[in-house]
Amino acid sequence: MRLSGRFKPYSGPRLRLVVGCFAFLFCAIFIRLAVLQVFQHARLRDLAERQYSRQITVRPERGRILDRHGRVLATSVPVPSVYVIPQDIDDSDAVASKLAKVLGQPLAAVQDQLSTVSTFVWLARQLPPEVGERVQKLNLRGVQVLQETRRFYPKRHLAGQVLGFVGVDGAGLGGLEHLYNRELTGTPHQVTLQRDATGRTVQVMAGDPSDQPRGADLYLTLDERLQYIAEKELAVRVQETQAKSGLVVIMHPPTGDILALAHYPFFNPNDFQDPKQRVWQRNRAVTDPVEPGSTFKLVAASAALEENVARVTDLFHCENGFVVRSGRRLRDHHPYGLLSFVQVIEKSSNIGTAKIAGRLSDDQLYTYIRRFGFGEKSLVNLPGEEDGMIRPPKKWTKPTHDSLAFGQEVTVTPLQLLTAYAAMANGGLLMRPRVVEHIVQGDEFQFFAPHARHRVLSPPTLERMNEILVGVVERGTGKQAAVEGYTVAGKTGTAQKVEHGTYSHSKVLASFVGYMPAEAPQLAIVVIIDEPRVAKWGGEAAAPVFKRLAQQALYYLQVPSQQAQTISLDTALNPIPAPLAGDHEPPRIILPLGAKAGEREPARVALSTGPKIEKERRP
Amino acid sequence: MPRPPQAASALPPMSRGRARRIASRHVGMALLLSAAMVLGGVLLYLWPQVRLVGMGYRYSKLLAQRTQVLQRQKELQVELSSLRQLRRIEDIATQHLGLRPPQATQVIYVRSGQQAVAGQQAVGQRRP
Repeated sequence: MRLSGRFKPYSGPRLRLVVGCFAFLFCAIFIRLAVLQVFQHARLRDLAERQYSRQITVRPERGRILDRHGRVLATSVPVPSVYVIPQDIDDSDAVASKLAKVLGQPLAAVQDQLSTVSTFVWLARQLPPEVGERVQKLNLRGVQVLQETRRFYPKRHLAGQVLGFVGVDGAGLGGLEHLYNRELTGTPHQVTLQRDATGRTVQVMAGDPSDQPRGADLYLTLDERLQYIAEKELAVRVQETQAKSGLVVIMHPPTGDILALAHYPFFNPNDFQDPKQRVWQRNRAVTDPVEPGSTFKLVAASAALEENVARVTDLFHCENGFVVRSGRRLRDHHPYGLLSFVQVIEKSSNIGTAKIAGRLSDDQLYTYIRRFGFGEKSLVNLPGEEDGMIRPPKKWTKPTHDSLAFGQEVTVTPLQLLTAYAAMANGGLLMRPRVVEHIVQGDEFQFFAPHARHRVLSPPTLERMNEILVGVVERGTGKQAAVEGYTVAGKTGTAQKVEHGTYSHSKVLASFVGYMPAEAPQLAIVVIIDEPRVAKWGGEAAAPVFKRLAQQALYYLQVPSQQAQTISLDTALNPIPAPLAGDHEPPRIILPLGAKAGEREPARVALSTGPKIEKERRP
Repeated sequence: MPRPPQAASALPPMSRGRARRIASRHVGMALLLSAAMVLGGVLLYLWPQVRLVGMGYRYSKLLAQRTQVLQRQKELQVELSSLRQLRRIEDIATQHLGLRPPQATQVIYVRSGQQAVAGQQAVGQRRP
């Protein structure tokens, strides 16, 4: 075909040249496309995704710690932190000046931070919210405000040593916060966001940032109110006796639940960095074994009765307060002559107890010490628990047998001591103490059931020991622990502290451990006062704390005293006794938790002219 | 072989130029229509994308608002817990309101049948 004359100028070699050029360009474009779309596809896709998408790790909020009634003891709150990217800052001097003013930091320190070569520098962490807002309002390039969470303990020092504390990076560093760090922290999850050129989030591509699972919640056996009462009374007594420190543990014998664990001086985990407080951050109820002193006489006395080597009517001569046995001088705090088995314990005679223990072989005494749970961990769910120290009989020296009888040459933790007495209150069953009752994470529930380790004593021995321990409070060294209207069983202890390798005469550990009501024990309590200056004996320094604590705790737990006026709803139509003479306020009636409206009526009718009826308020 | 007679036409014979103009007008219309369809298609495709981006911005904003509200709720809960400190409540009760703990004789316990035994389940009581 021939082109018409009009198209003739475009024919020939010029056309071929143009077509050739276009063909070459198309080929080049095609090859480039192939390279980009096929050979470099993966790399370029990654580059693009990196530009417009951002993957962030969402750390779940740390779980809470609550008491047995669900009252919050530890929670997390959002707080602002300020960081800088030094290379993005244009005028570092001006920025440093503004930041130093808002943050309240020295100008030189801020300038130092801004001049570092690092790509990321924390300037200030966990600030008050208003400071974070002020930094944000400055709108400085290269200065960013990030929301972090901070652990907060709304009840301040309450149970501080038990709860522990959390560092600025969110890791548990002490107490339950440390032991259950993994459960409390939870599992972080990834969220992918698409962002625009200005950095704003356009949409969520994967994961749901609003679906933030929280770490597990820890429900403790502690009761906030009992803990408060324990801390309050302990603080008062430590100050009264001008002691160095003090410790109280309250246990529910049938379950081994620790209802309160108080230390004085207090430790406020909100200020864990305060160096003055650091000394008191340890939970000494489990970490610091001590010589128990006379409270340990329980073991020798029980063992002698259980092994039938002594009877409660047996008499022991207490050598008028001084004797040398097995090469060691033994002394009593008062000179006693002949005392019965019961009186030896009631009056806490060291010589008498050594003679009782003398009827046991070394192996028998050692077996009972171990049977009461001494020399091994109680396996309570608290960190840092110590075994205590009890040497096996083959390592004993001559006086060891006597020393062990009245609580020397052995160390126990306060919790071990309380657990042993709680076994006496629990029909002889030695329980594993527990502080964490259950853990809840979403739908998952982990329960730490009460666990009985073994039986320590037979019922007849328990009955006799119970009577003896009641006698200690009614007639013996523990009179100041007596609570009006209740039967208290317990034992005093005054352990000399070891100073420069010998027993000190001035520094003692005064203690009282007991349980009540003796006929149906609800509470076992140990009180330890370290180095009291005013009242040095356990019966003087520690027993009064026991009394004050027990009174309030039993009232709170609605355990009526022997003189309490108690009426049953079934017999509420019977007339109520008139208020005792001298009372100026009419008695109140407290209906039990869960009482229905119908149950109020019989009481109201019966008491129409009498006391005011109230429904108990839930805590 | 004789050629068949051509069909007689009512219209006058069209000139070559006119035929080309009509043809180019049709082509133009077709191009316009195609362009409109392409544009419509593009708009149809882009509109949901634009909406999606807009909704994404709105969602992000709402998420930020939700976080702020949750933070505020958290702060208030913490404040409530702090206000419920027993030391503070006791101080208010004793110092400001003049209350004091009742004497043992001022309290009468009313027990239901199941709770007849004194102190039974005292510690075990839980919130429902």
